[in-house]
Amino acid sequence: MENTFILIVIFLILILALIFVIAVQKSNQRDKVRELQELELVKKSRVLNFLPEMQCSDNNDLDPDCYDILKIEVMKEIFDNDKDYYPVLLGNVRILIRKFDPSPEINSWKDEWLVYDNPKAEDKGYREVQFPVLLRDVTSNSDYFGVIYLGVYE
Amino acid sequence: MKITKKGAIEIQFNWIYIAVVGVILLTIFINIAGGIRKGAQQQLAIEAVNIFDEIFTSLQGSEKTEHSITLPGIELELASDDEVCNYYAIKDSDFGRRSTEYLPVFSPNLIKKEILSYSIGWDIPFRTNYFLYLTSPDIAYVYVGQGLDIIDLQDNMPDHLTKEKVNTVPEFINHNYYKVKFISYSSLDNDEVSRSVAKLSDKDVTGVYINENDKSITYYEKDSDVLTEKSISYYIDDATLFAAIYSDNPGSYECNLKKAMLRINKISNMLVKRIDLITKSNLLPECKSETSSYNQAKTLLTQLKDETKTQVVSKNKIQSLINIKEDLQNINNKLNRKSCPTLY
Repeated sequence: MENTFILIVIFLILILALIFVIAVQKSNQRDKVRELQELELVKKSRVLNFLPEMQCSDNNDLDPDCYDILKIEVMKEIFDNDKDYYPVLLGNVRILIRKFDPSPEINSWKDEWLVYDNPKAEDKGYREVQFPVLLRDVTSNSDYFGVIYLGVYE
Repeated sequence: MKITKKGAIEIQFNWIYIAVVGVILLTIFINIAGGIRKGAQQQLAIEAVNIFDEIFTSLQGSEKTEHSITLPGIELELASDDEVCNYYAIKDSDFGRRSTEYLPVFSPNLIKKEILSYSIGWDIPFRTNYFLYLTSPDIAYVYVGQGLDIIDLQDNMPDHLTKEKVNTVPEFINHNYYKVKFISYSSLDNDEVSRSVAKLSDKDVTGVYINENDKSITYYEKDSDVLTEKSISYYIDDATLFAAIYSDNPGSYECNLKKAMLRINKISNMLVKRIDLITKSNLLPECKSETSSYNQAKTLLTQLKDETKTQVVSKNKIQSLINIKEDLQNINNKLNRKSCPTLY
């Protein structure tokens, strides 16, 4: 009887310890997931830097902070029709570009392009970062202030 | 003091009871410890791969910069077969495999101790891709020959590579490198390797013979103690030449080059449509007169798009890409001189 009682107590202590370990691990996992989401956002925002498809290029001198309006218009059409290549390359992101004139302080934009939008089948949230960029119209040789709203579907 | 029969049985039973429970508890603890250890290993693999993913993305942006990443007790495995060059993972881990489906990564199939990375933007003539080159300091790149061309190549390739210079293949003694690559501007066919190199497995001793005249690269692999020809591939410029040297085998080189060609196909398609928008816009009179240049460029870009529709690396295709690249460069320079919207 005594032995059984001791064993029950030991098992109870073990179960409590196990519950504690699981709870700590779950909390760590949540932190890890958050960290990975942040990392994903940073990674996706970097992807834009390697998209010569939209960047300004002056005789192949690429400017990562400048976007060519003609390329944006063409790429919007290409992204809309492409179901294989760019969804894999860019993943589940949303790229919205707004053109301001003369500056965003007037709180209205002149043009906007929802260049790319690839949400996940299951909605689990959305994070967005904004980048101020230069938008160039090569045909009229004019530059505009623009903002890229890059959203990452979680 | 007399122990009764009943008491003796009870004492024995208690010991059996304790032994059984002890074994059960021990088994539970061993299983839990094993599970935690396995979980930690998987976690390390997943975390490492995630961090590499982030690092590889950043590395592309830091063009022509040499980086190194220490591998703490892990080895990086990269798919480098002919048709499968689309992932990397931690060796001996089934978890955390990361896709490189559209990222051209030129590397050996296994990287130990430290990752040495380098990246170059590939222009044909417009920027299409960022090539990522990976290797290990424990892989020897052996430059064979005495000509200026091999000295130039040795100087041009990243400084962090483990470079060795010899006049002939047998001169090279292996100092515990796990892979050896011979690079030469003359044929390496049937060249005998030293005994220290012969000890390595055949697949780990390879060679490339660069023929600048026809832009070809002949791949060699060790067969017992001599280098034997495997196959021939082609390169266009320094970026593709480095890619061929970093790659473990011709299959891996061509597989990754096909990814780059697919991107050319996509970008040339975009540039054709962009030219349409340029020619339809209100251009300055001096640029309006350049309509023929734009049309010519459109033809060349369409040709480029067609050439890269099927991503086969052949001599004719490479020559055609070189010609298109030069013609597009000339048109772009002309438009640039006239201050008209350039093609790229």
